[in-house]
Amino acid sequence: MSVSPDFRTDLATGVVDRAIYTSEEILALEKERIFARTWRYACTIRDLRNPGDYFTLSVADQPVLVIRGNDGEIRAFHNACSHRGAVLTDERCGNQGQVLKCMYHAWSFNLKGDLTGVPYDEGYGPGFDRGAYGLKPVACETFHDLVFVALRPTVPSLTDFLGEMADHLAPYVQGIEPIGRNSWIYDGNWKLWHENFRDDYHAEFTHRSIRDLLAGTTARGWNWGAAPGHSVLQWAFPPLDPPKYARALQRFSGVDFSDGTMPVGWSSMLAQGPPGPPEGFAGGEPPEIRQEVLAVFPNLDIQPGPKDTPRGMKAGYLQTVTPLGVNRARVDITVYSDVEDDDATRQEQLENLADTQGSWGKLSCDDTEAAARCQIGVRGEGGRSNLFTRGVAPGRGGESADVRDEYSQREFFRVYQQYLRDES
Amino acid sequence: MSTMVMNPAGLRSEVEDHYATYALTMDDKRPNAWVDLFLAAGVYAVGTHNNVSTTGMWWYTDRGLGALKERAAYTNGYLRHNPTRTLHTITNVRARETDDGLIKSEAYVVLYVTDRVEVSRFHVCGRYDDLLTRTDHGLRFAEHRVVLDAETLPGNMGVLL
Ligand code: FES
Ligand SMILES: [Fe+2]
Repeated sequence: MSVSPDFRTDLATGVVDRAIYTSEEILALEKERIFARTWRYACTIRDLRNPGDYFTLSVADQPVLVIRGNDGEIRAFHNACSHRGAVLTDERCGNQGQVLKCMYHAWSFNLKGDLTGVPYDEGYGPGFDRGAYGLKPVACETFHDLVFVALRPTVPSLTDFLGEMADHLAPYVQGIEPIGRNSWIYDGNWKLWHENFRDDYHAEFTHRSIRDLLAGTTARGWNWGAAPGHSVLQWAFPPLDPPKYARALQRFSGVDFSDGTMPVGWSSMLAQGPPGPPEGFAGGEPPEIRQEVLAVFPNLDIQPGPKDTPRGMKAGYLQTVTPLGVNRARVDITVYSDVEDDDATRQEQLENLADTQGSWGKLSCDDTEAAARCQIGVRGEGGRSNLFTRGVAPGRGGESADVRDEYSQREFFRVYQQYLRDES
Repeated sequence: MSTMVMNPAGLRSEVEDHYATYALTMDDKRPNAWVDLFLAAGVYAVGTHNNVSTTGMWWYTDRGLGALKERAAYTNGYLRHNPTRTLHTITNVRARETDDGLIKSEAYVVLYVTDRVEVSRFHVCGRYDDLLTRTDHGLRFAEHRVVLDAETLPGNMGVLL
C-alpha cells in the first residue's frame, strides 16, 4: 500500500509521522474523516432515565443532543434550531420536559424533533411547511447500556463498528449507572491521551507509585489490537509493598513517614486489601486478579474494576478525549457503578476510582505530564517519527503478546490512517 | 441549633490567621506543616460544585493521617509534573462556634499557579466548608472540604487546596 502523501511514514508499521500531532490540516481532516464518520460514545442509558432527559456533546465540533422520548426511544439530533441555528440547550445534561424550546424566537420541538410551535407563523404565509423544519436527526444506537451517535457513519452498524471488541466489552457495560462526572483540559494533542490508555510500557516508569507499590505490575499480561482500531491491555495485580511505597513517598517529597504511619495507597487499596477472589470461589489457590483497559476507536477508553471480581465487572470509568486544537484537548470522565449499589457503596466507588483518574488522579497527573512533554518535543525538528514498534511477531497480538507490546497502538494507527485516506 | 459567639470579629481573625498559616504551608511547600494543621483523624475532601450539589458525592476524600500524608507527598514531589509556584488567596471568611465546641468556618479560595514557562495564571477557585477545633497548638482541621466552582478543570489538579 502506498504511503499517503500526507504522511512521511506508513503509520500502520508503528513508525508514526510526528506531523499528526502538530498539523492543523491533519486535525481538520481528523474531524472530517474520523470524528464525523465514526461512532462516538455519548452517555449511558441511565443518564436518560425519563422522557425529556437529555445529554449534549460535541462531535467533530458539531453540537449534538441525545434525548429520551415519551415512547422510551433514545434519539439524537443536531443541537441547532432549524430557524437560525441557536443551540437548544447549552447544558451538559438535564430534563427538557415535553418541549425543546429555542430561547431566541421560541420555536419549539417535541421529543421526536418535530417542529410543533412557531410564534406568529401566519407571517410566513400559507405555504409554510413545518414538516421541513424538524430537528435534523443524528444516527443513534445503543450497545447494552452505552449510547453512541454518529454523524455520517461509514460503518452503519454500531456492532460492526465495535467488531472484535463487542464481545469483550459486553460483560462490562450491562447494569451500570453513572455516579460522577469530571472534565478537564490538557495541553497536548488528543491522540496523546488515547494512546496512553493503549500503552503499558510507560506504567512502571511514569508512575512512581506503580514502581513502588505494585512492582512487577506489567510482568504478566497481554496486549491485543482488536479490529477494527480497538485494543485491550490486561495485566495481573502483583503483591502490594506498602513499606517500600512509604519510603519512596518520603524520599521524593520529604513527608515524614518515619513514625510508622502507612499510606492508604491509591484507591484505598491498602486499607481495603487487594480485590478478592471471584464470588462463589471455593478453596484452593485463588486465581490471579486481573485488570483491563479497553480502548475503542477513535477516542473512548474504558477501565473497569478488577476482572471477574464481584465488584469489578460493574464499576469503573468511561473516558472520551475531544480535540480542542492540535495542542489542546478535553477529557470527559464518567465514573459508574453497579445499578444495585446503595449510596454508601457508590460514594466509596467514586472515591476509589477517582483517586487515580481525572485531572487530580494520582496516576493521571503523571500521564498528563507525559502528554504535555511529548507535545512540546514533537513540535521541534528533533525527530520525524514516534515509535510504536514493540512486539515483533506478526499479527495483532493477543494473549501471547507482552502487555508492553504495541499491537494496541498499531491497530489504532492502521485504522486511523485508513479513515484519513478515505476520500469518499 | 448553633449560636454565634459574643465576639465574632475576634473569632474571625483567629480563623483568618489559621487560613493564612495554612496557605503558607502550601505556597512555601512545607508538606509536613500542612499535615500538622489537620487532626490525626482529620478529613480532606475535594469535589466539584455540580457533583457535590447534585449527588452529594466528593471526588476524593482523604481520611486520617496515612491518607493526608500520602496526599501531601503526591502534591510535593511524588507526582512527575514539575513543581510550580502556587499562591492561595483565602478570603470572605465567616466563622461561628458550634454547640459541641467546634468552629464552623467558610471561606473562598482562589489559586494561582506559575507554570512551566514561568507565566502566572489563575488556576481554579472555589469555597471552603470546614470544621475546626482548638488544640494546645492552635486551630486544626477536623474537616476541610473544598468545593470547586468549575466543572471543567485544568489538566493538572495535583495541587493542595
Ligand atoms: S433561532 Fe431558534 S427560534 Fe430563532
Ligand atoms: Fe499511565
